[in-house]
Amino acid sequence: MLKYTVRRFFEMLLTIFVIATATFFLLAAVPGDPLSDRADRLPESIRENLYRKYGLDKPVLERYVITMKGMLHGDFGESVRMPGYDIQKLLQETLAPSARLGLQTIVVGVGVGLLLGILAAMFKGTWLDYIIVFFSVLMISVPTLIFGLLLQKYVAGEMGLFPIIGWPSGEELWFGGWAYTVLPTLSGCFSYIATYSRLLKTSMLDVINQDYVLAARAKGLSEPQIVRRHILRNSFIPIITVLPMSIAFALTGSFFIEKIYAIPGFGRYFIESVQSRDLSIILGQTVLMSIVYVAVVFLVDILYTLIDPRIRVGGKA
Amino acid sequence: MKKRTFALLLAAVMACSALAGCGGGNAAPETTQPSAGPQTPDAQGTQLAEKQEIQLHWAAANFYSFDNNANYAAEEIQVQSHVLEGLVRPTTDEAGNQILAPAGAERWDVSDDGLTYTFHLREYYWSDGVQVTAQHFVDSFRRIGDPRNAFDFASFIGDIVGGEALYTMDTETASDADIEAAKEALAVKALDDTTLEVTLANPAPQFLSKVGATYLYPVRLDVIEAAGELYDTDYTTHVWCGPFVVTGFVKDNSMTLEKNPTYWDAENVHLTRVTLINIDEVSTQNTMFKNGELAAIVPTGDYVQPYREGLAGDNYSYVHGDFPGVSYFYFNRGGNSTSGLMESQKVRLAMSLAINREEFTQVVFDRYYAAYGFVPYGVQNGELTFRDDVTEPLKAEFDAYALDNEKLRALFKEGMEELGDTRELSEVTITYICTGDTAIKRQQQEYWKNAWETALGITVNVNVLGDSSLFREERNAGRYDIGQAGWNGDYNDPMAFVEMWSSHGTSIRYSGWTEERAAQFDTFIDRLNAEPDPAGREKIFAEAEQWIVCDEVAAIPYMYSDTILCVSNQIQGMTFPFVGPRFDFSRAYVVA
Repeated sequence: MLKYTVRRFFEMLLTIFVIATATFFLLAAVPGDPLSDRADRLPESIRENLYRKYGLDKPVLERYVITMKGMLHGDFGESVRMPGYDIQKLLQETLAPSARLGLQTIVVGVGVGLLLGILAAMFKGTWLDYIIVFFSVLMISVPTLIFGLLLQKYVAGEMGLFPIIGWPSGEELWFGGWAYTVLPTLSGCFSYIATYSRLLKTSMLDVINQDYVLAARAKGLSEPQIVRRHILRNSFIPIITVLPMSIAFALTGSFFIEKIYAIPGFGRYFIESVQSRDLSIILGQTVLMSIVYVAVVFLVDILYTLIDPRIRVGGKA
Repeated sequence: MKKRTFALLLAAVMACSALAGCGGGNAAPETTQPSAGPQTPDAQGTQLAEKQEIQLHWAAANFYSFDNNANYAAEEIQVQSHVLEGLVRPTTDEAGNQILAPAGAERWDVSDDGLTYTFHLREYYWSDGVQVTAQHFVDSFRRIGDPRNAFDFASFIGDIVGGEALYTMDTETASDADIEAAKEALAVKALDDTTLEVTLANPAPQFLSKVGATYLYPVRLDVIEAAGELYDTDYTTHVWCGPFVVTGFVKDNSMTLEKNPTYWDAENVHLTRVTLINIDEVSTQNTMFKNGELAAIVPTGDYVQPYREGLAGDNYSYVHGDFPGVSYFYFNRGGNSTSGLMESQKVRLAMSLAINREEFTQVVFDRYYAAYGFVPYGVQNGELTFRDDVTEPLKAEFDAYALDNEKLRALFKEGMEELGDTRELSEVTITYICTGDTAIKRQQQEYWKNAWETALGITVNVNVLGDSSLFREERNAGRYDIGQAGWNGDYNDPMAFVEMWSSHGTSIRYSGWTEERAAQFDTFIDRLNAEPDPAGREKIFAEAEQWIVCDEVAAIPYMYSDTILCVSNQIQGMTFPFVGPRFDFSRAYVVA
């Protein structure tokens, strides 16, 4: 296990290095730089001084070496688009709202989704199953943006049940200000409900037909006992594969929901920094996401062994 | 240079079509000028509401820095003009005319030759109790011109003696000592604490309008030094001298302004708190405005028509005014145009006369104005409003051709023959580059393609590039005949629109222009620089405009911008300066 962990750790470093390098050169290959929009309309002398100020007049390889050296010390460089900000400062100010929204969305979405999945599997072929399937398809087909806008217009705007926009801050950053979070959480959780209910249902139906379920039934176990001890536990393998990815994804923000409800989160920077070719922020985000994902994949591998002892790592069969 | 209002930021991102707007519709917009300017509540006999707080939408992502010298975006100006006080303040008078009101300067004298401006500052204070002195303006002017800072609007000091020499210094070759010496040499002097003397290189009446821009508002070097790296981002390191102070800021989300009790005119500032909040979705803004949660809204796209026709309720006033922006086509004049025809004046003129501007603005946008000149409505030259006095130069030519296809084709063909090109018109392909694949952009691209193909019998190849960077690459490589752009004036003077075609301008890179052509155009600028009298300047501006759109056909102007705002009837006293902030709420109040 230790050998495996150490190997995985070095693989992780290599992966991150490769990703950072690829990101750098891909961005260098794409036309445009963070200043080009702004500098296009400036007099020539100011334009040249501006490029010099940000070191963008240097050759690509030289910039690559400077960037990589900085990264080794955790310094991704100052954003060109947002003076005074680097990735750490940006995360510090914007990650908390995104993380809270993500956690709430996951808890509600996955919780309800799993519950519906169990119901659909247990009442397979009944009207309940059909209703759940119908709504799952509906929820996954309608974009988050539409749910967000509709809920906002009717539930907040016309009925006035919740604030139209806003997000708790200060002492209420993590707990409190719940009224602000209801609609954003609802808008975000639909896709999780749909994904997880369908996933669990399919997986459970596979397991239900296994011989050991038949054996459990033959032993005279009650239906809830069979579901809890035998079916659910074995059905969770695909969920364990997907769930950590969902969490990693949700924690780093939702572009649309944050936009609609004016939530000061991290989601918007994934789009904006690429549009503006803001290299230091893009690199920071890429490396951050790579770390999260690589770590999650590692975690999933460990979790497998806990859930299902038949899966072993480290080469021993 | 160009101010990035958010409409024109779109132009920067998607240079193909300069302005966002709505599609369809039929009625032409009725023009009403922005409502009359600041009036005190007493004068109208109205009752003030107890709670003097408002909320406005504000595109927070375009707010980059609290450093007023470093600013370049409209959203930054919106804030700075309310928390700082410069020499003069752009606003409107009671009749709704655009004026530069005395602000930090109580009054100013201009010498007879138009070269020396002496500003007499009033006694007013920063929020930490330090008096605002003439030296703070000297520091600001020198700092914005310092080439090491590379501030976007450094050229705003270009009219001042030593200004151009300072901001054009090459930071690679100039030593720090050279730069410091050039800063000392800048002809801006604090004669005493309250007297500021500025000497211009040429009589440049537009200078006063530039002084009204927040870039040239005062700065405190001691505060900047103490703040260090945090000066850009941390409002708590700042001091203020305007009607409001900043009391809260969430990056890319919101800003809170509260009344500055030590402001020199605090008795006429009624709002106690203004929340500027970023609401990206227009539909959300609409919901909030209807619920009375926003003081004003800038409707765009499909929202313009319902607001204009009163479908959104009756508790707001609809304001439709001029805006200093022009949209135009330019030509590849680098001698390498795809068709090889862009060197012919007749070919360019035929393309300019072949489009129906009235129909375009009406069918595609249902707003904005058809443009037959390069200087938009409302731009002032001293006391004179340029467009009121000078007929649009393309109008007569356009009427003479009257969209007659035969005549237009003959003109185009004549131009081709002058270049020694004997092809038939049907064999000619013109490459038109642009960006943007939204419905409204597609509609524009289709409209132009169809207009030129029908009128001239040629083929138009529309090359839509993925984003502005790809567009620039194509443009800079010269793989096009005609491109599309937009331009907003940063100050209120026709110079803001003609200067771009000179050697100092940006068209050499931005609009297919060449150094040679620019040098030809410089003669107009030289004459303008020697002419302090507005009437004399107006004549020269008219000649310059005639040259741009008719004699030389450097560009095909097709549309002037406008501004549309809806203001809640609960809010009075808000003004909408032509340049500067979009909303001036410094003297606004909420009625009971």
